[in-house]
Amino acid sequence: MSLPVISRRNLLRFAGAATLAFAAPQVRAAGGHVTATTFPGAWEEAHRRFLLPAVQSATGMEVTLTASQAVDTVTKLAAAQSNPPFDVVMMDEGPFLQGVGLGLFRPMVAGAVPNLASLPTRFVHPEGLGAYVSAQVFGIAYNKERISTPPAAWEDLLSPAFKGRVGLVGLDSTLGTVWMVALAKMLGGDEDHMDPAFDFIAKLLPNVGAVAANPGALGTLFQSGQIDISCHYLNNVASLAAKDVPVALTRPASGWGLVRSLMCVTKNTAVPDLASAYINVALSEPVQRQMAGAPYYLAPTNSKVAFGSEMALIAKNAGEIDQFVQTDWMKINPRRAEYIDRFNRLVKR
Amino acid sequence: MSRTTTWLTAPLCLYFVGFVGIPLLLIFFISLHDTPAMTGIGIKGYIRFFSDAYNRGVLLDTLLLGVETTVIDILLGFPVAYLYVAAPRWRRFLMFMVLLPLLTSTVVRTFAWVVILGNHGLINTLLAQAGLIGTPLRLLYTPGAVAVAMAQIELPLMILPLITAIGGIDAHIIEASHVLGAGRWRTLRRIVLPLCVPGLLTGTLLVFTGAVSALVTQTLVGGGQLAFMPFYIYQQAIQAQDYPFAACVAIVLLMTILLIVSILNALGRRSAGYVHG
Repeated sequence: MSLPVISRRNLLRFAGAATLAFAAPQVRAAGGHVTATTFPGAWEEAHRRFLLPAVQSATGMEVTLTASQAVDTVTKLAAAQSNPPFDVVMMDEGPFLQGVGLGLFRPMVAGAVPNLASLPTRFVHPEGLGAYVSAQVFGIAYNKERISTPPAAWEDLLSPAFKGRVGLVGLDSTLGTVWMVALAKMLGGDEDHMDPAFDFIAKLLPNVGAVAANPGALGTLFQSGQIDISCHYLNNVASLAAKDVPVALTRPASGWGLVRSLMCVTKNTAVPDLASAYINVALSEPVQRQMAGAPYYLAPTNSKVAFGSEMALIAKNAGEIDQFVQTDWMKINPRRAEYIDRFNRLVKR
Repeated sequence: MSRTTTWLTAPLCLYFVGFVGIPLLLIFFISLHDTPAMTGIGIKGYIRFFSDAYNRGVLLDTLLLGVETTVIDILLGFPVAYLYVAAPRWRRFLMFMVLLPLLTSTVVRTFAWVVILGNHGLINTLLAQAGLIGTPLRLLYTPGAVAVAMAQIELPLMILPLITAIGGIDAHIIEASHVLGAGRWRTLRRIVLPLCVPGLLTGTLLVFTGAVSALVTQTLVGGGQLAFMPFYIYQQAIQAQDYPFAACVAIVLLMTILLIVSILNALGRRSAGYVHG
């Protein structure tokens, strides 16, 4: 057997180059460095476009932004508690409460987040473990080219006209869960009495064209014409419409639904002050106003920001939004696994 | 084996022990807990898995997907591999075509299938334009769609070992078969096919294990209404936060694959005797 001969000189060259590449010091900005998470899709787009430049100019720090679903983030943090991979994380209410239970977060640094004063008190965690940066509104999304009369209530999804055209989203996503809770409440149930919602889904099954694994996938299904009607978030629908997908969102008779998202500083982060400063910028008036505008429409939590354009059709301000159908995650979390399982069995073909 | 060779394998051995062996043992240990909070040692998770028809269905569907993918790949791959060996002038072109899919990421290849099979995708549009269908056929999010997409993605892993096996057949044996009066079909059936068995088994092993564990393609082409083991593991671990049960599902999948691999290996040893003996 003959192997190609590697000369000692070449080997040394290669080894030298490799060592240099690995040993090269990490370039750090003068203002410090923060690693943050955001949600994939419209959130990531909006954060890269508005939040990161604002953070850079306000604090001078570099941000490494990672897109990660809240449940995945909780898992990553739980796996490396003493040396968390992120300094600031974005959370939905459900995973946030799980994280609080696991002791994954620390209070924001006092004085580093002056913008907290502009938030309604219920938008800040009592112990300062997180601040609500946005609220997402959900309603009935439909293809306005193929559905001429806008649907008026969730019950309309049961119409035989929508056979094979309704999209569902898995109960393992926040949207799937809050929608089921909204259905249960509409039909006389609640977080602990979900049977009406499951019965509704069972009746809906002949109409179901696809079950999306996450809300982002719902957008793809609308785009490819695989589904024409489903529950969805205002910001996702607006972002699809901006891409010329003929989708619109309408208010169900039972009311708009609401999902709130938070930012939290991770326990054991090396830079709690910088992480808190990052949250402060996310709560600032200019950033929240930009995020609330086209094409993202993420409802602001800073009460100084008035609701403009599309948002104005839904509510006047953060206070009014608080009246929408909400989910008690303290009740849902302990039974989440059970509900996910029940949903999976129900929709499996 | 010389001492130097032994030492040279040490880094890989350490790597496997550290990053495969120990984590696997950990997963097995986690699977032996009775509750999501990791209390109580026992085999409740395994009992829960096998006593439930839903779970057994998920396992069977996953294995069935592996079998379907493998059969499609054997049927599609064998002629290509045979042509590759039989037509030397086309070799470069064929090899390029076989390897081309490997140069694109699985996610991209999977999305291509989503576009092809969708309600307003390539196939449905063509059929509608030809006036053959009124409403779109449901192609995407069906078990058949997953098997076809999976087969295309795994195809090179079947063709490459087959090329090696067919290429290794001594041309004199085939000539001898012809001289002794066997026709083309008989030679193919009695000489070429049996001599390809080792390559066929290697290909089967690679394709089958790849297909049963391909999370991305199964999820994107299969949609939320089909359940396969890899996504089930992910869902139980990450979304339901039930690590012990997720570990059980993972161990069940691993053991099932190991069992099938051992059977194939045993067949491989027998066929090796058949080929040379």
